[in-house]
Amino acid sequence: MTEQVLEHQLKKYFAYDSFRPGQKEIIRNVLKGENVLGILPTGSGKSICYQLPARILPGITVVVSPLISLMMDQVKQLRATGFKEVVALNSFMDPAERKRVMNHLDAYKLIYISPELLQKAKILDSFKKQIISLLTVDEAHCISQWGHEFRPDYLKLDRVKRQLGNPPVLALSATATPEVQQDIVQHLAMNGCVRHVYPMDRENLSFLVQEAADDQAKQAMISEIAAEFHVPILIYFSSRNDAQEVASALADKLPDRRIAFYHGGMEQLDRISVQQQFMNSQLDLICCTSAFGMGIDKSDIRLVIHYHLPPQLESFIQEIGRAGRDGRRSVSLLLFSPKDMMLPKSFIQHELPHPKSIFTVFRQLKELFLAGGDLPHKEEETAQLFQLNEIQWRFLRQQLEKHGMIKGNRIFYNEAGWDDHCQAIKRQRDEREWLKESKLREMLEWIQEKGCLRRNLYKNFQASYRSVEKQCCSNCGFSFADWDPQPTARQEEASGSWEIKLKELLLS
Amino acid sequence: MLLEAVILTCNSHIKQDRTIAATYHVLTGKRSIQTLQDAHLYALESFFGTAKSLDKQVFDKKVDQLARENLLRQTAPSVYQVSSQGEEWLKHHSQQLPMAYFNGLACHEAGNLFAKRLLLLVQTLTNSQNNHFSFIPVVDHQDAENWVRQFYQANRFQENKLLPQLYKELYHLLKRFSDREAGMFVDRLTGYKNYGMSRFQLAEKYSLPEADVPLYLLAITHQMLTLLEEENTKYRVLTYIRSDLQQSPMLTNSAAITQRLLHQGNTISQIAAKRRLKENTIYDHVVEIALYDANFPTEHFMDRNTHLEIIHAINQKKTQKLKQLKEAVHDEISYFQIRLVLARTNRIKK
Repeated sequence: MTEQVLEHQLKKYFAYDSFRPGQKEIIRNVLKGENVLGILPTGSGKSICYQLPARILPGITVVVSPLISLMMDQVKQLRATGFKEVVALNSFMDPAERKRVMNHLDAYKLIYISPELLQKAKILDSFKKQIISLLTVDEAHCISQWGHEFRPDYLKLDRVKRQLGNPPVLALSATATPEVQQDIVQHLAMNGCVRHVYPMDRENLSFLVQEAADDQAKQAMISEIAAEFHVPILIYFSSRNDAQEVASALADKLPDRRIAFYHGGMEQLDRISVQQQFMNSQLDLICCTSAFGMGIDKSDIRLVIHYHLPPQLESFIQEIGRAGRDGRRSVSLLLFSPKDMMLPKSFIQHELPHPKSIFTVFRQLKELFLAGGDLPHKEEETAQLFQLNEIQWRFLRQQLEKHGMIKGNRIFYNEAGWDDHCQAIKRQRDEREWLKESKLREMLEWIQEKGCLRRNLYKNFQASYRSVEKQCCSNCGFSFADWDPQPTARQEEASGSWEIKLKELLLS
Repeated sequence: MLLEAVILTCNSHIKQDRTIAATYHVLTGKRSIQTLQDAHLYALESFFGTAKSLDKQVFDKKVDQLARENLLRQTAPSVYQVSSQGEEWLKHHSQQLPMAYFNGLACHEAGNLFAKRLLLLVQTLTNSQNNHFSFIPVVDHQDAENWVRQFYQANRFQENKLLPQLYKELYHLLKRFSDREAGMFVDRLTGYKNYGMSRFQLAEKYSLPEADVPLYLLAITHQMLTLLEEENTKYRVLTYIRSDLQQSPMLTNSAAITQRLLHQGNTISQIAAKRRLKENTIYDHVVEIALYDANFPTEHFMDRNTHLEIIHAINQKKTQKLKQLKEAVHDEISYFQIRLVLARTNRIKK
């Protein structure tokens, strides 16, 4: 397909005039049926790389994605642009609706699916009957033990790929170190893989790291900054509660700013409202958790603040990548207080089973086996049975399956290997913990960095970076005093009576 | 304050007959026979399912708080009574609260769907009016989406008449509400390039506790449905939105199957055997059916004397408590028969 034709298709289907860097190159290889690894920074339009091929290729494009809310957002956006042969399959779907979709797979061109669902024998069987033109693995770094978001379910994708008759694979990620990239290619057996790795450093971002004594100090700083700069601001928190509380504290201090919060625990209608209000410039500032921003394309976010320390550089890079997509000068501000150092540590504990509970689970499994019992059918119940949270159980389940100790909800006891398995799993757990802690250490080292923040932020991910003369980072002398962003145009606040508002809403 | 008022009202109806959990189940609209029966027995139909997503912990905290403020008085474990102070509080505050709007049991499903369709319809019409067809729908609900799509297809050609008509109707309907209530409703609406407020934003703007906002919105919806029912000729479009929505309470699915088998002439034990359920479960279904079915043949389940004896006991003991009634009648009379009579008498009283 010639370049002109591709650009014409882009215009026709997505109303964009031109490709962003990397998109066209990746799409060209994908359309030739090659295996492609695409590392594109956040906000560069990764999804076009499979959405456009999905419209052109003869068969179905399957997209494996771990983020259910992102899937749904994308399906909504695609439907809004008129691409109706799109669907997202996930375990939260109404069973009847899912069955209906499964019976009509060939009616779709693009199918999003969660990794755990794609492994279900029944579902895989239905997919086997279809022509799969492209298997896209989104957030492909999840496949690597070295990645920051390792997901055991991703490890079985190589088998899925074989069962689907080895369709070409497009693996995409925004944050993958060279080691992780190697893991992805190897694990998905991407023979003759074409690699498109684009640098993730952003010249129009300036970095600020500032220490604050405590939460109060942080909030004082933020309200001062937000009062001075009337621009779209995003503030990331590691807990829903904090996002909510700080949002209302800021609203009190800054009565003329429109402030809201956003997190995964909100009712859907409220989530869409807040998200769209921000997109639509009805809001100035959002306090949010990491649930916000995936799949959102607001180009004029000027300032991204981290109220808490992210657990690793990867998520930090992803989140600041939402600032300044229009290319204008934007700022990332990370705040930390001495007590924050402990916070991510407790998250790590939350994600891995305690060594003692591994031992307990082994004992319980053996007892259950000898009593002729199975595990409960529901994951939540099993987790509860072992007094683990679901993340911890997911880790352990994958390990137990790997050692052939459980299959589905059946237990397979084998006295000879039992203790060895227990030791091996404990070692695995310790390795994970060590990895997560070293990720955290990287983050901590970065905030305590004396040299250029820009250089050191990207050094683990790519060989070089584009240096910036002015307004680089706090260590290179940048401060808010040097920043002069264009303020948001003041909008007439519709403060009239409901009668006026109703009339405006419906009749203008 | 609305949530407190609703909890107090429910509890003052229930008195000390049940634990506080009964109030919680009525508010969250638990589809169990016990809860449906409670709703009828204590005349709480209008509050049934009015706080569907109320978290148990939030509810428990509220109850504790009401007890601390001496509006509720704990009389036994998990049993509360509205104190005289609480009654006073209710009398004082109820007037400014939209308590009378609620019509929970009758509007159970209809209210929810009506609101969703209306929100989505306004968003769709205002966007298409501006030739903007790629908007993110605020309502993510299959039925509402299908309905709006069909409606839009069918009325595409008179599109420019639709919005003015809808405006006129909404204006007149909202005039029947207080300015505050109408404001809340309008602020929730999403139009072209103007997204409506989230419940937290509404809470802020109207100085309400967060938990009250969904209750207010639901109360307004229920009252709208009531007004539409009374004056349906005035509101063509709005009436059409609710025309196919069932406004009568439905039996639980399982009870509906039992009802069908009963109509086919099966006995209780036959039904239990066919459905592989316990006979007691089938009895529960029968009581539920008796609550709704105006033509329910009570005489199939007891003779005239038994019926009269139970009614006598109810009148004499002035109670609805099963245990006390059971003690007051002959041993051969079963709990099931007493419950059946209670269900029928409560039905008639209304």
